Amino acid sequence: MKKLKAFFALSAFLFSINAFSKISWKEYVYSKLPEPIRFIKIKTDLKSVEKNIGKAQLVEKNKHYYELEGFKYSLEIIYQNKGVKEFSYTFMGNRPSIDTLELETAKLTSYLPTGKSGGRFLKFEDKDGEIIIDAVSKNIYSVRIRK
Amino acid sequence: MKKIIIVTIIFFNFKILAHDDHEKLPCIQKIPLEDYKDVEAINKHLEWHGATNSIIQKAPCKNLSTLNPEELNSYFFKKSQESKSNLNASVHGVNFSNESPALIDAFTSLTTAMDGFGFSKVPSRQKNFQKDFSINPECKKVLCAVTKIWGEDLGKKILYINLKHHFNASEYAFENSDRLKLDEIDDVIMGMEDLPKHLIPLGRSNQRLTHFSRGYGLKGDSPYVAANSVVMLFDTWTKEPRFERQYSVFHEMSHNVATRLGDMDEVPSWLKLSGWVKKGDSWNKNPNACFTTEYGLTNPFEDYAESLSTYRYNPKPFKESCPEKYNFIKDKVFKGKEYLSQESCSDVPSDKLSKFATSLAAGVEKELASVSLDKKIISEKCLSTFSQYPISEENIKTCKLILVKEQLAQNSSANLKILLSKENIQSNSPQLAQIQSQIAEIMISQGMLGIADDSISETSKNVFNENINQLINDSLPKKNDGKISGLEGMTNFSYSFNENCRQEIWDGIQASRRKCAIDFILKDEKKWQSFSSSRYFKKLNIPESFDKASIEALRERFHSEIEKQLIESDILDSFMSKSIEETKKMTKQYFSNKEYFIENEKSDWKKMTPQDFCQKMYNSPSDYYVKYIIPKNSNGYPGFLSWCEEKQSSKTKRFTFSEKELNDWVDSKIN
Repeated sequence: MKKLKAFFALSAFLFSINAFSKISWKEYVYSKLPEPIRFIKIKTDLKSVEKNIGKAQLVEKNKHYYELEGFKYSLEIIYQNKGVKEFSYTFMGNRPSIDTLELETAKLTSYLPTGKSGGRFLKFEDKDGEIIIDAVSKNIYSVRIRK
Repeated sequence: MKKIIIVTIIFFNFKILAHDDHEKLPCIQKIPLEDYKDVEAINKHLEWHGATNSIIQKAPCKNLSTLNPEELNSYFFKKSQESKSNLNASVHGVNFSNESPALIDAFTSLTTAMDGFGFSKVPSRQKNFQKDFSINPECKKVLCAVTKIWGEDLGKKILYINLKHHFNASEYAFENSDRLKLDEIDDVIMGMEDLPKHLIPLGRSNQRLTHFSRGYGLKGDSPYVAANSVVMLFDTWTKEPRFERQYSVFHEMSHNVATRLGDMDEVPSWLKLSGWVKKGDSWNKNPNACFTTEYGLTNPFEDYAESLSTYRYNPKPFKESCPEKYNFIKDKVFKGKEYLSQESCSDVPSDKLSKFATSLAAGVEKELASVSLDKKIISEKCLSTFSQYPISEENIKTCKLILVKEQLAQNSSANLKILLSKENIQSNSPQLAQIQSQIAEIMISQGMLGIADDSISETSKNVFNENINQLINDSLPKKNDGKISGLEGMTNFSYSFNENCRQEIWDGIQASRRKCAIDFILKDEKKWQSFSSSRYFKKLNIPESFDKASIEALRERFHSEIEKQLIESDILDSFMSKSIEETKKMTKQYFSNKEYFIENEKSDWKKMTPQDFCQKMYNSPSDYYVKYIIPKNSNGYPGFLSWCEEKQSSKTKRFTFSEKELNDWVDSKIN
């Protein structure tokens, strides 16, 4: 039975490294978020968010937008029943490299394809959310956390 | 039992691990182009760029000549002299001796298998080039090796791009790549070399620049995406006219310029110029901001790439209409260099240029003896090829040929013989093909001018009709084993037919549908041909020497012949039948999606009367559905309102029809 459990554990481990080696993209991205934003989790209530990062500069229905580092709007928080349903953050300046992620390129799709040019962004999406990659500079442009 | 579970787990994991390394598995999501059904993307496909083919060609300091073997060899010679000591090395089975380290590095890049984005190596795809191409012992040098792999012209140009621009055009290096053709790589080089010198080399280390697998697109893209800044070139790019291909390459290079200059396309000073504000995944802009092209309205990144491209190829209207944005690009990207005239962008001092022009004109006049050259022609046609000093021999030759062509267009071919003899051009000369192609161009020009001027002549009519028949056969989808295939014709037709002729589709009268189809094909075609492009038929190749009236006359003739052919052709019926099936499918999907509308659009549905519910929920839908789903110029689906009320539960106010009932209703209405 112990052997069987060991194989199950090994199986789960191998399965997880197939998707992302060593660390999940969500863990990696969270570690790169600015300190006050790192605190935001799904279902965090509005009051806690505002206590930590202040009130949004723009509110449209359940969407709250924050201007950070002079960029309108690098943070979007979508609420449902006064708890965070999802949020997206656009990295400015020193963007995290994707080198340590070992993303599955098979899951990358075009992002913001318009007209005749596919631009420079690629999207990776799974149940936890999505990350947008700048394929030219090979770093993370933005992230959306849903779970 | 335990054993079975253990074996299953081991096998399962083996398959997972093996998955990434499997040679045949594509590591980029690609889908056949036929599968795209994005109505909005296709309908949004407009001519959005900042310059047409002919404007690009005439842009001051435009690089117009392809690299010739002498220039390539001279470049490689200089490059090989840069290193003090050469190396012996083995690369993927190929041995090199006493070779320049730079060339060995380039060969390694071109032959090392990477994933589609250049993120990491893919050992399972790695070829042994010695085994596949038998390079040694005949070749011990990189130039020889690339010739064995790609042929001399293509191989040297792929190597040149890698060494000079730091882009990798090898189909062996990146997954889902196909080999570039010679004319394609020439356009890539010409587009890249329209960049200012201080931005060359632009590629990041070993950056991809390949043609994506032909017949496929990247998942998430519409079939009209020509390229991206990764850089992947798609089939749509291949089909563009040559100078527009160069524009597209420049556009993608512009995205790379933004990256090079510290993500300049999203710095506050750039965003402020158009009032760009990011809200989640979408970008809002100041409605009063100034843009160079419609395409630039999309987001700040495309705004930036289009602004750079317009600055390079069509700067005058840009400077006049958006001076603030123009000056931003001028100062921060082009370091003050402008492309408003040959004088403003040329590296040749203006006094030397003028002196050279005079001597060149005298030389050509002397050779042709019987003709005199208009100085205006020299200035407009010839000097635009000179942007670097000293002017290369090749450019002088090209310039002479342009001038001679101008004369030949107005004189007899006897002058050509004079030219050939004066230039000592032999029958096996490489220049002969160039001259022959120019003669052909002149002949076509003269022939087509004749057609335009003499449009009622029976002879030209017959010639033209034969041409049109060929165009239709080449452009419209073919019937194979009862199925219609072909991307452009059917995809374009299907969506346009649904959008333009929905009333006729619902009316069910075949003759009206046919008339509507022919009308919109001609309307579309006229619009696209006016952009020197095409939608259903091949581009009408109108020589640049035509005046406006001749162009209009030729286009009119072209379209009247198309109309005749369409009326007589039975292929239109096959098109319509296929499109009507698509319309039925979309209509059924729309009705089946009622939960979406309840949740997202009409949250107060519970308060509605049954009549209001049917009216508001299904007969006055969102703008999108007014545009794409319901019959044009109507208040909803004919006869639908009464059917809706019949089928609605008075208690829940929801539809209670079954899928079969819905399908039967749609089928009964559209037939």
